[in-house]
Amino acid sequence: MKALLLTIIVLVALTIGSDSWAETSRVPVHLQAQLTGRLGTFDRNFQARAGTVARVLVLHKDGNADSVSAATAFAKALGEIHQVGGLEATVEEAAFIDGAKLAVRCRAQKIALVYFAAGLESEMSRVAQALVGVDVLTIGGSSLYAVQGAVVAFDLEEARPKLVLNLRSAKAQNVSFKAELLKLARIVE
Amino acid sequence: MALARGNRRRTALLFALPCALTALLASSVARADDADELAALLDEHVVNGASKSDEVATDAPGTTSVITAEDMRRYGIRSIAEAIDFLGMGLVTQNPLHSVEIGGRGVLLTSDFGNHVLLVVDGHVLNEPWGGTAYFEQGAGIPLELVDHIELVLGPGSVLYGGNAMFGVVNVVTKRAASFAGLHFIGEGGLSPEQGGNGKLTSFAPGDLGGSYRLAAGIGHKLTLFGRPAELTAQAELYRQNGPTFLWDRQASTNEDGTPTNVGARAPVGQWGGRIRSQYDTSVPSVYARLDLGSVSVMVRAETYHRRTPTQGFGQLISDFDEPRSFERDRFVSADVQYRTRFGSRFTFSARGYADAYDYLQNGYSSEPSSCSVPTAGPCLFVARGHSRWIGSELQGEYDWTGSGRLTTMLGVDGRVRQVGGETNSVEADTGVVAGVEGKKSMTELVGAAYLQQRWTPVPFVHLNGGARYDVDPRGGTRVSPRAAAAFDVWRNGVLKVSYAEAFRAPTFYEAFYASPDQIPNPNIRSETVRGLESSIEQRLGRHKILFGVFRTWWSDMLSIRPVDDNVSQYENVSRIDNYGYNARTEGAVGAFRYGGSVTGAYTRRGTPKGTETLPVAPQLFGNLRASYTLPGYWPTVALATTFVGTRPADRALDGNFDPAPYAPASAELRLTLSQRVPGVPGLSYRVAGSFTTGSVVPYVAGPTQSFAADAETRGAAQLTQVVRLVTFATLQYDLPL
Repeated sequence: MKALLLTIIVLVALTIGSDSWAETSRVPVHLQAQLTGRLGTFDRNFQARAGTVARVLVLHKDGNADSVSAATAFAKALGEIHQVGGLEATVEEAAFIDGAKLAVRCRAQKIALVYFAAGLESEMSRVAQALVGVDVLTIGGSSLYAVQGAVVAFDLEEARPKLVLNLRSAKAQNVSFKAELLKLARIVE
Repeated sequence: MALARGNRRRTALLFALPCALTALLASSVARADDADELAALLDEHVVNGASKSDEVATDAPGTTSVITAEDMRRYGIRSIAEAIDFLGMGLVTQNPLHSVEIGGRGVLLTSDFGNHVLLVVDGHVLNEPWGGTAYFEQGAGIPLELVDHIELVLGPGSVLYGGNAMFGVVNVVTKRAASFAGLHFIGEGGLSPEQGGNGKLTSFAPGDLGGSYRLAAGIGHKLTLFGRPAELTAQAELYRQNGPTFLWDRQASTNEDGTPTNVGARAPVGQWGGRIRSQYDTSVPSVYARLDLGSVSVMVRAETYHRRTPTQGFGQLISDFDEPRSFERDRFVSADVQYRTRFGSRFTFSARGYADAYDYLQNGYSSEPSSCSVPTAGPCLFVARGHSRWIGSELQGEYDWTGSGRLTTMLGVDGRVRQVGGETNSVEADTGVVAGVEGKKSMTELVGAAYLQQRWTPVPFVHLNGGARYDVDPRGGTRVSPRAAAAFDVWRNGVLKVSYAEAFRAPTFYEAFYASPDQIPNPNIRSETVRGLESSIEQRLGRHKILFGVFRTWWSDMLSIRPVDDNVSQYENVSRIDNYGYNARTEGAVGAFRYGGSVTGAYTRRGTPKGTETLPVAPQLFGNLRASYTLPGYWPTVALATTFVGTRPADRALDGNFDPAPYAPASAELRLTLSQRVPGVPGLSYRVAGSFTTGSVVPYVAGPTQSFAADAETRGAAQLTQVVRLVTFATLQYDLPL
């Protein structure tokens, strides 16, 4: 029992200084990538936003190993699919800086879709504010992202992936989902 | 030798079948539209039981079935055993009015107590080392409202989990706080009519009804602790069942010296039988709690499982008829602390510390003084005790070579100290004075293991998984358990799988060291082993899925209790089991209509020094069918589920000298469930269900003739244990936001 107690103390100490595993999405990244690849077809404005090539930006939190790992894996998986929303896709990975710079970049480079890897949940509400009026589909790797303002997020419920949609953010970012998608998703405000 | 005859031909035939199906299905795959394709992706199951990594079930090594909380609610499921029978594939349970017996794919072993299936909850193994016990009925002590989903990982599974995983792994995953948010209060009550002989329903009068109830309170809450996000999920519950009552035919009961047995005040001397009123009840208070704090997850669990069994056998051979002082009790306490972190972007590390305590108590009250090993002056209390405590740690690292999850190496080590012991006491029932103690023994053992797993997706449509685990166990020696598996995305939404795996089970303390008047220790017995080869093809057509698989297993060194002389027996490695068969599953949805079903067929033979024989009790055909429709508005969801088993030889069919040999006929249980929210009362929901079983008996001989009697004279027809044929129950749940 002493060993167990010691173990608990050590783990609590480690916890206080560690990143939260609890927020990490358990939807495998290649399944997230497959879902992302199909989501564009349910956004009425996606093709007009993207043009001929869908530019995808995958963001991670600098210095967060979980975030870098998830972003890299997602970018590779999406890159292998080649297509997003029926369009040829190019995927770029970068470290997140702030919402304002992201808004500028989305406008300047005509980014059609931004994916936020784990670790940026606490930034999401400020990002959503900065992206009001920016024509872009934002997707987060865990359900908390949608609660904080991402347009779409992935969750795992009863061993199945679930789409979580934030319709307020969708409207603010000129994303218009078809009714077929709304029937398959959980809606948050 | 007879078992080996024709094996190659059968194996070749079995594995040619998926190829034939492949060709058949390839021509019929239609292109679904975008919405169907997205819905199908959202219907994919994400599992982690097969490889300890989150992955899509179709990529996982071997065959995994997933039972979701929603389906359990919808189809009126009240225990893991019911979930397996009504909603699973490949595994099956039998209920001898004691803890249920679990088996699968044509093999089910009597008095097994869950020994050959590994039960894992949130990564914590529940099988204990005194008797290998894991329960699957309400005695599991796992509140179902807290369960997110259950994964049934079929086939030998020692590669990552070590011993016991011979049929497979039942991996229970509990809910996250977000899925269980708020306070939850659950009340459930059930009724069953009185039964006469052979399962007839004889009285619906209120005073004759048997009943059960369950009261539970749970919480799911997100909070902040030490400045970190945290989640708490917990539920405490009390389950109680009493009755229904049964009528048993009289059976003559004699002592070893031929005199009539005094079976107590509720039956004539020398005559076991009559109506059981006081010896079929269960009480299970339990609590399960989990706290996730940052990278640490802490679980605690405690339960007591107290029961009385209305037949002799299953640990209650030494008891008066309908004697309330005869009972069994299991107690479990578990704690588990897991920590996970990542070093760099490619290396994941996890550490787990666990500690468990278990004890078992059996009280058998007998008016016959000679029933105890040390004869008493008056009535005797036969007391058997067992206990086990274990503490250990598992360290696991996983390296992602490519950064995309396509080539990963997992390495783990697991070490534990366990202390196991037991004794058998003969007690003067009237005074409590111990007349004698037998077989008292306690021992401390060190157990260790190391495992390696390599996952590789060389191209997007090929998923390979190989690995091995090396276990060092002072009981049963050392074992290497390998696994090799491949999954091929052979065409659009079609997956072909092939796998080979091995598993073992070290002898339990009960099998190797337990001593009682009837059983002597045998410390020289070896581990049981099983090798399994299987293949399956799964096709998704929009929201519809169909799977067909074949399997072949070879079981060696199977332990059975065998007579040493006229009075005592011991466990020996005496048999092997050879079987093959198929399993198939389908599930899907069209709008608000859902359906599903599975069927498993097998051909099983046991080889012993005396020859080849069928395997008692084990169903060679079983499965389930279900359909539900969600009506609009406040109309309820209507769900009908059925589970069926084919004819099975009884446990004493081969060695009981009964004429005719006892068989339990084919049987089906049908369950109709209505569920919905209660209109006008936010947070309140209901579920009402009725369940009826067409068969009246299970394949277990009841009464004194249950005793092993290979050399006895022909004993006529056996009396088989009844099933509880009709059950109605209702559940009310009130959810209160926090």
